[in-house]
Amino acid sequence: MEPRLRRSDGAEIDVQIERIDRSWSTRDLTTAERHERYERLDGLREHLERAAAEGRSPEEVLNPDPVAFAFAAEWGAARCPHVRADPAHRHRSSRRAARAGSVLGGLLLLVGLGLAWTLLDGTGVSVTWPAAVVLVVLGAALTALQVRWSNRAWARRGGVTS
Amino acid sequence: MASDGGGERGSRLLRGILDACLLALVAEQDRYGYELAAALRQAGLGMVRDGSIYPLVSRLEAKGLLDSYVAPSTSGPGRRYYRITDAGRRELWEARTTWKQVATGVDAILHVSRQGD
Repeated sequence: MEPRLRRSDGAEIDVQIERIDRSWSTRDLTTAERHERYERLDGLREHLERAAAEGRSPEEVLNPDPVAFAFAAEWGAARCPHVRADPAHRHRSSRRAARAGSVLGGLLLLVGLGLAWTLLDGTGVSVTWPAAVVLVVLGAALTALQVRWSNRAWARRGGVTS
Repeated sequence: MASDGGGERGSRLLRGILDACLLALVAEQDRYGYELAAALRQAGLGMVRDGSIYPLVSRLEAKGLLDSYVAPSTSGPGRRYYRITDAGRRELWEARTTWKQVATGVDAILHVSRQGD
């Protein structure tokens, strides 16, 4: 007897396709890439339907969790090499960048303060210690805000590095 | 990973050579995703999940080793066929050479071990 697609398989295929599509839709795609995404999803649907008709479930064809198990991420990354496939890696890189930014900001602030101190030293203008502490705290707060803002902007872009 | 056709060890061994297998299949004739999966299964490589083929061919395409085009299908939307490029043929030739060396070496060692059992 000719193998046929069961209704439950059809529903499962819809779920998997939708999940993969949702995962891809978080990326910044050009119009051409968006068009290609639909075409590839159609191709994948046909593949899953044929496999289901042969008795293989979508899970078996893709993975127990195609999205979490990097199917969608990997395929997306392979299409757009500038996108990192691994969200954990992206998170690590972001934190590393934030930490480096903070250290650099702090160093620049200290150098600036030292320079200002040296310049003011000969002019007779006195800078009190509380004022210096306030300046350092203000600088640190500004650096933290900047890091937070850039992280948010990065997250809004869906983790795409441009 | 499915256990048919070699199980986990088979999957791990295949990981480094699967791209060459796909290049070889596409070098024979232009194929689309489902055909590639079916050909691998037919060759006894049932441990390869169909789903792992798509990211891999996309990567080969991004590297310029494969090229793709969409052709109309009688049973639904157009199908994306993959064809090998000149760079892909060179890569395949290198992969075949490497595989021959590795397989010869491994076979010699495993054969010696089997005699020692």
